[in-house]
Amino acid sequence: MAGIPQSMASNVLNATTPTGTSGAPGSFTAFAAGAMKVRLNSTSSTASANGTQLTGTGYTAGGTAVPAASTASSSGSNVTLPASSALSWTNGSGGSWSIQSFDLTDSAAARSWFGDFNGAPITVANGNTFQIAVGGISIGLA
Amino acid sequence: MSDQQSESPEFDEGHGWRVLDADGNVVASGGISEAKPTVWVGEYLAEASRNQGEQE
Repeated sequence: MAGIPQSMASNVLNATTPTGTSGAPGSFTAFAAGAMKVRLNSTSSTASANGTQLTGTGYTAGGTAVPAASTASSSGSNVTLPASSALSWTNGSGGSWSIQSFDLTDSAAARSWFGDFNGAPITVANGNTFQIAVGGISIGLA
Repeated sequence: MSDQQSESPEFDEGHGWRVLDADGNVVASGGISEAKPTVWVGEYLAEASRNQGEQE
């Protein structure tokens, strides 16, 4: 299960259809400025709700900001993230993490995309480190 | 322990994710993870189908 939250789907639909004044395109609700974040969850996210976020030492609630700008999509190509360096979390919670899914959010926690990790659930024992490679998440419309 | 960004050279583009033990050994790994709305559409249609079945 992966994809786009209902809120984002409506945002795109409204901005690209005649839902605005006198049949003009509706407005797009912009995301917050600031680096977007990758949030890790122990359950699957769905179109209507986030998954259950990880907790404990080594994980900051709300997720971790991406390190740099991703290459913009062109000709319908996917956008991959993170750019330039991997994302990394070391589990110091005292117990194992079970990682099922991610959410991509803006800096104010509004969701734009979500998906299960390939091979989930991923067990990360206490003291171990979970990393997402450069380009380890791929987001596309095709 | 806190969030940090790795610059490990052997774990670059083309990989998905990995789990390292305290010595830096790879104990698990997986491919690139994807998010596509087409899957969401399938999810939506499946839910609509289930709802229709419950009403009948």
